[in-house]
Amino acid sequence: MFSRWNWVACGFYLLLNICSPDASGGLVQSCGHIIPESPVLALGSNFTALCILNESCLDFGNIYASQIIWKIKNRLVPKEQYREINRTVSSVTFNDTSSLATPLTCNILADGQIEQNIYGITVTVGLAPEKPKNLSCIVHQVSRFTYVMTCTWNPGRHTFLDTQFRLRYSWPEEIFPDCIPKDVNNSCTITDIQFFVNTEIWVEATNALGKAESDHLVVDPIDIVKPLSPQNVSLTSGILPTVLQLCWENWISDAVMMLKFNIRYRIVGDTNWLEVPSEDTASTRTSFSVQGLRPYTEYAFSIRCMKEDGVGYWSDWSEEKTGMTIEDQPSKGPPIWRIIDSSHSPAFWTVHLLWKALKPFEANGVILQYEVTVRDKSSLSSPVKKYNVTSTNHTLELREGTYEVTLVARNSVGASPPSVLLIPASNSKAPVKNLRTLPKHDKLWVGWTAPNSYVLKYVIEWCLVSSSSDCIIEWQIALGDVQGIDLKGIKPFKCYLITVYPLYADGQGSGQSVKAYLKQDRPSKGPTVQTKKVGKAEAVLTWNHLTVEEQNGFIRNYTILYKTIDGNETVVTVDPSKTEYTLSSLTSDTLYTVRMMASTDNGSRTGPDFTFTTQKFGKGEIEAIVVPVCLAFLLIVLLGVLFCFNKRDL
Amino acid sequence: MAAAEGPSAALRRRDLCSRGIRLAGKMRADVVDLLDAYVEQQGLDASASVAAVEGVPVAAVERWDEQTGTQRLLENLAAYRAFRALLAQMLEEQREQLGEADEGLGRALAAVLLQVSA
Repeated sequence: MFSRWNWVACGFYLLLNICSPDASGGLVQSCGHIIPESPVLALGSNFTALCILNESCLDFGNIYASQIIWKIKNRLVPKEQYREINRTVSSVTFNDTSSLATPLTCNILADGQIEQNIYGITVTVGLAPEKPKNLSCIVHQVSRFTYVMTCTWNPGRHTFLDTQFRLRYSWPEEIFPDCIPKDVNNSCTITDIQFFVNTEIWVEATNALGKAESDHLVVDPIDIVKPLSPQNVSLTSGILPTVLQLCWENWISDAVMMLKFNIRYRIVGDTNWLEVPSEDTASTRTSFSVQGLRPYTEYAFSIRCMKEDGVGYWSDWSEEKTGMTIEDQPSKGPPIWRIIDSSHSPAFWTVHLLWKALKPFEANGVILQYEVTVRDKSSLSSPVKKYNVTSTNHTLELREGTYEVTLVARNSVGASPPSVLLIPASNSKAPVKNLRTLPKHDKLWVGWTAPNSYVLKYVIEWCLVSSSSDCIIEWQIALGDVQGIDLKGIKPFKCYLITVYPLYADGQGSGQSVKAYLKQDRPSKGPTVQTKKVGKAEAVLTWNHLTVEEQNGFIRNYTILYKTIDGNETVVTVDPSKTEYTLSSLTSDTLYTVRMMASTDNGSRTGPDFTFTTQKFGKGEIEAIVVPVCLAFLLIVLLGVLFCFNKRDL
Repeated sequence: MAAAEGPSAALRRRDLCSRGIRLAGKMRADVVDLLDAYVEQQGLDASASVAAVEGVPVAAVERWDEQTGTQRLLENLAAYRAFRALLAQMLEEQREQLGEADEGLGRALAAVLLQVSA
């Protein structure tokens, strides 16, 4: 009896094992199955599965639907979700499929509490596709005769399922093959499109849970074209100094569409683009002459096109093409000035003529030479002297007198208007008044009041005052109607000598000068004081003025500070022009320490200390004591001798 | 070209007409290019008259002043249908003859065919 039950149990056990669906799959009939098989479920929906036991399995013992237990991924599903339909069928319900995972297995708790798997299904949870949105298409011209249409759309939320997108397009009477996107789900490119026919385009999204269709777009592909930029762009110069002609090839024929253009250009080296007014390029063409350019300047051009009526997209800007305008004659004469050196002989001058090179937009080309003409106005018969110079200065030896110097800059096209400088025999005309300076951040403003007569222009000279080297003159011209200019390049803490000359049509005013600092600082050194003469109650102090490099500003005053070892310090202020000062009311035979401070508007600096001792005796005091003492002594000796003689006589 | 009629406003008809005209213009340009390429490819005699071939619709320009607008459109429609059939045949033959050798020509022919259908 025992062995028979043993055999039955073993056989039953064996059978159950063989009945597991994952054992050999297919070869042996499973004990039950689940419906539905491999469902695809919408996220958040409810789902019920049934586990149906086979009749054949029930014969093996106490196996009922009530013993079925459900598992998700080997985690037990709560028994509240089970329902026993009948003896062989058990169901499990999920109210929200978001809690489902794969696999879902139907298992049975057999006699002896052995859990056996009966069947399992894979559950896929996902979402139906959302309606694709924002469908937009653009036709790109990829080569001279080839156009492709690329459409993009928003595929909507992630579905967690395999979703196919197809781009569909058709005419009223003709259907075309769908466009299937490769590797992406939000765009597709159609290579075969025809113009001038309204084409209906839409996107269909399909997956196991459903289908969605985007809004239909009806468009004539000719209205959504982005052309290729104009090709073979070339520039021609040489027509006029202010004109460059741009030529190009349009790769869209007039039969397909008429074009309009945008042309932009910039000076090479500048980043600002200028644009040709669009009204001037609003129709199909293959060339355009751009006017109003600067002579002898390199420009870069770029062009783009689109459909003439503005429906569609602009092409990309073409590659930049550069070209240079031809030279033109200079527009202005160079500013000219002179430095006259009459040091070695007042009747003969060494005149250094100086001028400034023209800026590129005034030179309009390469300046080949300057032509200087000197005319002696005081002697009508004197010949006119001409000089051709390549530098920006020229030195002449002239006899004292009145001269007119004309300067012209010449390039390969022609000469500039002349610049005229009158060198009068004397600067006798009215000078400017009230010359003053005002520092302004990094520039020094120089101002003056105009004289009563009409001034053609003003010349402002400035130079750095230095104790060790010559004052090198820099100069600038201002128009006759201004009464002040800013000087750039002025260094702080350095003294500059500024001179202003008014130039008239028939003469020149004398120069008015002023010294100025852009910024002042305290002196870099204090004055070194020493004594010249020391007496009993007075001392004469002496010092040297600081050099202009040491001053760093205008010295407003000197301050002398002196004291004894244990006494208070006495302060005396001295005028900055002085180099000597006498201290008085000093105590005799005392050690004094003295130092000097130089002050500018921005601070002071003290020099080294100097010590001296006042004399014990004043001038003549010693003589006044010694001489009477000696005389008295002599008198006593004399008296003594006389007394002795008297005594002997008696 | 199959012109879509129906309950459309005058505006829609005018738009269709203008597009039809532009399509015809483009077709003409494409056909001229295609003809040159085809004649060269097939080694044909360029001076041969197409009108002599049976089944090719004749241009009815000389008779236009005798016809009403509707008659003209209908004749054009019939002519385009005939052309569509002829071109389809041409495309078929061309594919058989040349196979994959001349894709460009085939594509151009197909494009013209499509435009005619439009």
